[in-house]
Amino acid sequence: MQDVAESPESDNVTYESIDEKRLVERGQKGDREAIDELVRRYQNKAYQYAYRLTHDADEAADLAAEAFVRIYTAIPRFRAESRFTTWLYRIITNCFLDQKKKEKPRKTVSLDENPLLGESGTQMGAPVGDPTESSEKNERGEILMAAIDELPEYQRAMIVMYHMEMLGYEEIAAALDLPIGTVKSRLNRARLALRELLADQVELFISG
Amino acid sequence: MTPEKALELFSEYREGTLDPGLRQALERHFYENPATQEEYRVFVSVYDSLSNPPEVTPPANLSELINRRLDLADWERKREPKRQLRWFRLVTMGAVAAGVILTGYIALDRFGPQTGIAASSVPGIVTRDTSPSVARLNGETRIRFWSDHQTVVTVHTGGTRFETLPPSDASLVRSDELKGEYNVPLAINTTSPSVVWVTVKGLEGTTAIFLPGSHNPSLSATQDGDLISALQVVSAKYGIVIEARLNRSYQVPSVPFNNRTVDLVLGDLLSSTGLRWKVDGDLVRIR
Repeated sequence: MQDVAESPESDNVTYESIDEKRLVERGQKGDREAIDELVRRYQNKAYQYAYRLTHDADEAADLAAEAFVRIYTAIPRFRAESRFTTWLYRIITNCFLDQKKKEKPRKTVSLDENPLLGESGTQMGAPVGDPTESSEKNERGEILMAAIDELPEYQRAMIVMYHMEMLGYEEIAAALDLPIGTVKSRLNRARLALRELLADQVELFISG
Repeated sequence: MTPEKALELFSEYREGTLDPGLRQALERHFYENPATQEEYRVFVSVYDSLSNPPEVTPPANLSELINRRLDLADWERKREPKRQLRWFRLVTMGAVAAGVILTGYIALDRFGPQTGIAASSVPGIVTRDTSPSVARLNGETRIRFWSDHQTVVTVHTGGTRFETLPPSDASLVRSDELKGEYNVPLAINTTSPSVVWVTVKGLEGTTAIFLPGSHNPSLSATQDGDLISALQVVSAKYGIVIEARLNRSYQVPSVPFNNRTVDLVLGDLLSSTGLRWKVDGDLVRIR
């Protein structure tokens, strides 16, 4: 009588304590529980990135799930030349771009029409006459997010990866399969575009 | 330096990575062009605001959603070779049937009408369901199962009469008619060890799930007797969930724990049963 398969328990090791590289190796051999552990470790990160791209809870959850399905399917071919998380960002970005391609042409909202970017500079529903620091910060955050939504998808992904997910230029370059110089110049363009989009709310940002 | 060129350098200047020569040229440009300098001031404000994004809280059911999608992908992956096999079988059976008919025809032609061969019907293709199994995720225990046709999954708990499985005195917890995915959390919270029995209509055998209740490391041995009772003790001793696919219960010897691993204990316990086991973290599967 013998154990039917090698298991981490045989040497008192649990999936929770296995490092990422070994989990990936196990996943490549078809170990579903290794994949489950990778999901457990990175699902929040995946959702956070997806949410910051979409600003929609359902869409973000769907993107995160789709990304893990793609990972499950493609992991035997993953060459581990980059970190698993870099690959995860790449796949989520691809899922996001694919989804946007599939969607009907997005209804474009002009800056004048977008209530968050209107001339008043006041977020809809925000308490009027409540100039506390925190409400101003929230307002600034909402306006900023609305402006990010107006960016082309690729620029949006770069902005979110660099400024919110705190990825370095090299990691973004690896995730998007672009030269670092291209990432830097495109990010600069994205920031300049944001500055243009926020031209009407300049004071809000400078005072902050 | 043109204003356009100055704009291209804003990020690197802000990040302090600009070549010293270009930095001086840009600063000179700022001095001579206050409008560009003002643009840079706005740029920096926006740049800095980007790094304080609002907090994002994932939904509570995110893990469940992802696992369902993975289960589905898993199922589709397993189904694909079955489909190919099905086609292979159909083609093979077709070829055999054609061969038989041809042989019959030749025989009929050669030896007269008394040697004719009756046509046999092609048997229906039967797809087999997987057995219900246990998944442990984030400390939660779930029953998972997939059926590609309409069936009934029944869950019982408890019972002491192991002549039949589930025991005749087990209590019914739920019964679900379904086709497709079954993914149900085991929300039975008892302090004493318990057994959950999962049966699927039309599928042989029962999946027994042993839940440890309050972990009881002071237990010293199993007792002579029934495998099911012994597995309840092992589950409580090691604080593990045991999933066992059983057609019947077995008589097993007494097994001491004596600081031994669950692997060694199960080795002794199952040696006469022909069952095999696999330890995965705090889950043991027995087949």
